[in-house]
Amino acid sequence: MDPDTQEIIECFVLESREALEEAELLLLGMEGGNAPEADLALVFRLFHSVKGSAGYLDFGSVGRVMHVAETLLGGIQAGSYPLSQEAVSTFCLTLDFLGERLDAIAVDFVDQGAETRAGALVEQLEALMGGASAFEEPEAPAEPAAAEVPVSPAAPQELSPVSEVPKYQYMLQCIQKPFGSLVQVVAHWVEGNEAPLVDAMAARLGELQQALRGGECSEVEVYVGKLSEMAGRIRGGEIEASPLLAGTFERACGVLGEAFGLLPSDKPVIENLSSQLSELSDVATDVREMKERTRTGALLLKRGLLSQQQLDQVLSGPAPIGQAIISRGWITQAQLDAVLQVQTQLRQGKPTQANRAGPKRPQRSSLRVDVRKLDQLMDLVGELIIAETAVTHDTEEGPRDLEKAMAQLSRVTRSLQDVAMSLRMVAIADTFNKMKRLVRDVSNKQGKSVSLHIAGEETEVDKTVAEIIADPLVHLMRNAVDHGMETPDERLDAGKPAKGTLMLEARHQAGEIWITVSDDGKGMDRTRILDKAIERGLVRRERGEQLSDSEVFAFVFEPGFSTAAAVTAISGRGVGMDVVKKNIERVKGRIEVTSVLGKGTSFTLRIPLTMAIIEGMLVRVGSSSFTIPLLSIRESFVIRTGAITRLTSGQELVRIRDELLPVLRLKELYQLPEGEDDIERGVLVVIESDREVVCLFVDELVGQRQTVVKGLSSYLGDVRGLSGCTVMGDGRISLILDVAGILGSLAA
Amino acid sequence: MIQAEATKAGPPEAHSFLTFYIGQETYGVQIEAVREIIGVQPITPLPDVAGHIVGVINLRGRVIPVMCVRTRIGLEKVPTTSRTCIVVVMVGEDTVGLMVDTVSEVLEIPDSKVDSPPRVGLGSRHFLKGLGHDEDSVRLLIDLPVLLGQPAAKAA
Repeated sequence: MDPDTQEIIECFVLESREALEEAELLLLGMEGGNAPEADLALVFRLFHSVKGSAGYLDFGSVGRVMHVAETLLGGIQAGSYPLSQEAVSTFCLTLDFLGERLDAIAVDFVDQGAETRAGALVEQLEALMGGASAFEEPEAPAEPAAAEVPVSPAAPQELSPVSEVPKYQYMLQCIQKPFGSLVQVVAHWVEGNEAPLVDAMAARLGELQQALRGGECSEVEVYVGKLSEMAGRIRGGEIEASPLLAGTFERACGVLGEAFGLLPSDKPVIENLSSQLSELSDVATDVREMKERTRTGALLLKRGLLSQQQLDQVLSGPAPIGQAIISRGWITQAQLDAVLQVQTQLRQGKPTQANRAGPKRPQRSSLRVDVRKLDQLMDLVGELIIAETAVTHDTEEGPRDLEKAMAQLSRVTRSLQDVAMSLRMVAIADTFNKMKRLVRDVSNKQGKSVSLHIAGEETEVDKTVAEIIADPLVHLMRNAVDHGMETPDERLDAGKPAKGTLMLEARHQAGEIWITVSDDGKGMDRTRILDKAIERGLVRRERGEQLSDSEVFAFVFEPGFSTAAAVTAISGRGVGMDVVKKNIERVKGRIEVTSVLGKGTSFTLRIPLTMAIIEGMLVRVGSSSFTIPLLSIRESFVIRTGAITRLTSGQELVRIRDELLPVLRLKELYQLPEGEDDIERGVLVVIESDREVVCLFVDELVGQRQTVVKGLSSYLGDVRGLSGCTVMGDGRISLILDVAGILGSLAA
Repeated sequence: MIQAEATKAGPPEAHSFLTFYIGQETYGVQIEAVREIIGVQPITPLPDVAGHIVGVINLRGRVIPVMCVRTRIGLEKVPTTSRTCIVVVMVGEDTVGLMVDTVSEVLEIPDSKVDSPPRVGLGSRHFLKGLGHDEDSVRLLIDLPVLLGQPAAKAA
């Protein structure tokens, strides 16, 4: 595949994913049947853009499904069909399907293996329209699958008396039939049979012109007039009916389809459209010029017609493909099964493709940045250069000025750091918004009534953090609805309102971001969890009785802790909870649980604002220096030799209050050439991770530092016991200890 | 063989190589891969990595690993001198420093003067891509991806 096409497809995936997210949010807002016209129109436009691009790129299943969905939506806009709960659900399914296909397309660059599912979905959508697709557009790709779709049978059956139907709706109905035929004719033309159909085409265009006359859409009328005129000239032999011209007509049909679909919506939309139409009619008039246009140029033009905004998006940045997994994360079980099925189909359908794909392409990752932040950055760089000049050149005035210039330089540098860091920050709103759908699906499926309250969605977090917490959040939210919430009946019995409340909240607190998921469900049962933990040998009974509530609840994060037997007893929490914890720990965060039996449960994810800067303790061993993340340090102290107990294995233990802790000499661990051996002359640092605790012996504590974390080269891969390194003020490198890794390898 | 192909292909092509010494031998790496040449800097050793990974250096804020080519190709380690250099190369996504005894020159070697490495007697020198020769000397041309090899972390 040539890189250009590949890039176009990547753009398509990116755009469509954005369209999908936007459409989903809007659709969720429509539940209950009351949808603002503007919202409907927007969703319609989103559907249409995806469909158009998919058609161009020959993504059969996507194009086909989106086309029918668009038709249904158009019908709903026109008032022909009700916006039922069922319709919204089906649209949601459509979006799920689109998401799955996008994930597959992002990898394979073709849309294959989902024809069956697409067919099923089309049937579902058509069922909502009384089993008929209103009209067929050429952009639905000309492949066998699409040919099965019945083309332009009867328009919606239940027409109300003309007098009651607004003028444009009546007009719309008049348009549908000629338009459907026109599309068919043009499609035939595109496929290769030309001459005899030009007459039919001209006739249909004439009919359309007739139908439009007197309507409120002069722009469309003029446009159709132009097309009609062109058809006349073809018929008269003035213009050659070339395949290129056929393409022009095909696109024109697409534009008309959009225009007709939008007719019933607000006036402003039409006005907006009319500017696009006039633009197109210029193009259409000059057919010869059209011939010179390259394929790519035509695409861009077409994209520009579909949506100016999207064209801007295409131009404004590279397309990231990633996050496929994240978006997978928020589908329900049933949909998951469907994905698996699709995957199987894919695998069976095209094993060679997968093999040919060879090494996985490196995934580019991109980020949208507020232009204001970039401006700020540029300003600061300007200031930096001025400050630099002041330091290097303007120092004749004497040391006083130099001092001033240095102070300025350091001020600018610090602001520059702040701005640079803020570039990586994204609002958590996107992550949160995905939860709305999840909560809706899970609660509907469980027959529970839950209202989701979101707060602090404007909170900004590091991009990496936002990506990594998406999965854990899904688990927590799903568990909260699935297991935490009672059914409405149970809730009424317990004296609570039938509708449960789920809170999702983000806020900054003490240099961390706190994300809280809290429900007012049945809460966790300490006794049962403890029994289970004892049964599984995680803790002895005597010790267990003394544990605090949160220590007991923390058992649910043990791998596989929640078994079938315990599901009802402890609300089943534990499904994937160990994964939640692992993910959070990857970003150096922690989870806290509080729960009151019968009142509800609350999980708080506490995550450092950014992974790029950590608070670290710089320690020295010989001439080497290491950084220990401050979060892992419990305390540090100097001891006398007498406090050390030596086991026969040579392992040293030190007694601290009532605990015996193993001593780990960093010098020996890393086989460093120099360093203190006398335990009285160095410092013991108590480090902990999970429940493992050891004393790390180092020469001295140098001090606490804000540490900018740099990864070790990817060439080195994972180096045991190190999580990265940092460059110190004097340019030397300090290695950052991976405390969990060190303790893990010791325990193993 | 390569020679024959090169003559068949029309005008002789040539590639530029950065040459450097290790012991008595002259080695060459394609100039395209070379980012810069720096003197020896303070190197921070890493625990638990293969012996030829000397450690990491701070190259203007970027932390890059440094490989000692000498030990990589199985020669004795020698103390660094004022002539020791680090050749910073970029292979794929990785930037790696190659510590060499001393850098020699940039040399254009026509493809017609490059022979395939001998099939026998290579031993640990299988990272050679070819032998560039002129009247009086032979230059060992290094296949960088092979020299860097895969994971530098010590096995087990």
